[in-house]
Amino acid sequence: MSTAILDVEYELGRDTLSYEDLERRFGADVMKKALSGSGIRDRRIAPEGVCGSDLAFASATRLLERTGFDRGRIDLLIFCSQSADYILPTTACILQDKLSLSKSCAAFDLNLGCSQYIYALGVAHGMISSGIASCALVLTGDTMSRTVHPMDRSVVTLLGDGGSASLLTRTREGWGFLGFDFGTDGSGYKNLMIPAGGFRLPRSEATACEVRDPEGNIRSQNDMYMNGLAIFHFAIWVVPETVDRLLRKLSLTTEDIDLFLFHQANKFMLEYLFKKLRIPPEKRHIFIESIGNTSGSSVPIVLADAMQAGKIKPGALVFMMAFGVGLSWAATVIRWPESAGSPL
Amino acid sequence: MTRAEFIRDFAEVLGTTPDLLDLGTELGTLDAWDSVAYLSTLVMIDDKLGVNLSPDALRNAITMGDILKAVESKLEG
Repeated sequence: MSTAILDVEYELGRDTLSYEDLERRFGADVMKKALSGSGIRDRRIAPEGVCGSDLAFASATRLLERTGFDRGRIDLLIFCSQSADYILPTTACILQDKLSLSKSCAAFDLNLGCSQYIYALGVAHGMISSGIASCALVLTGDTMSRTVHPMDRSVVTLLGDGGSASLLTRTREGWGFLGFDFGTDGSGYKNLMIPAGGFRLPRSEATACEVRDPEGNIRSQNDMYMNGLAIFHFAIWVVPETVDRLLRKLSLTTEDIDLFLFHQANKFMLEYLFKKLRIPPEKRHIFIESIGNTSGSSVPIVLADAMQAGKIKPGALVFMMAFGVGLSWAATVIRWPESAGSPL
Repeated sequence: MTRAEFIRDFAEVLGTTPDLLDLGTELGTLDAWDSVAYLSTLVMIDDKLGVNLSPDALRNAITMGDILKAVESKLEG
């Protein structure tokens, strides 16, 4: 038995932090450079008070209404987020109630930044294909734009807010998920982190102290820090290696794959990866320029966008990969089911 | 790739002409040597030479010759 994604919905932050907004903040020269280095013009930002779980909830509500799927059948809910509602309790429990899901539904959070969606798909696939669960709702939702200092252009120019909902259920062998590949390199954890606010380094007056780095960016230990060069270097090596490893594991080649969907980190990076992997334009899909890097929601969002663009036909082989915080990475290949996208 | 080709490609990354650069050019004196140029240089070295140059080797380079030296040592290794 295998598992398939039946359908996907997403919700972006309502507001826009535009190129022009940031041009006023950082100046024209800085923004021209930033655009050339990331390919991101505008970012969608959630208004104050809207949490990642709200974006996930909106996505799930729309998905369940559109598909007419019986929510009583859902017995697994995974909420993927690095911006939980509370330290305690787990946000997935709150979402179980808000979405009126069955009380026999397992619900838990999974926090792994940009890689989290594919990790959650792997967990859901394991639980469904082994018979532990039958239908899963995999939700993502983050408001990472709130974790950055407004004068740290190395991250402000990149991040947007978004959420998503994916419905997964059983399918016959040979369809849905054909395989996964996961990886971790914890030695690089300091290259993408929010140092303060956990139990290792609680927030304090000292951690709120702002420092200007050699490139003129301002941040404190309460804010997100990203070593952009190290992360870029990590991505341009780990993505091709993982694509190669997973395809070999499945006895497939890049020619067999109909569509490649990667974490929408940076358009410049994505275009280079596609070139390095010799993936032709018709097998690529990018959705970042007008919304920004939506962290752990970027893969389901680009997947939904590709579906809406008619790029995923029944039977198509789709390669999805995400990478980032941890450092971590994950990839999967899906044979798209025939019922995807249609009311059940 | 010859040294002249490396200088030509590096000049392209910096948006300048090769005759304004030599291996002794101090990177810190170039306005264009910024975070975007780091990324573009990493891509250029990976794309043209297939060399996995560490970000530290790039950040610690004082001159263009230091980058070339780091690339050559990777190619020899």
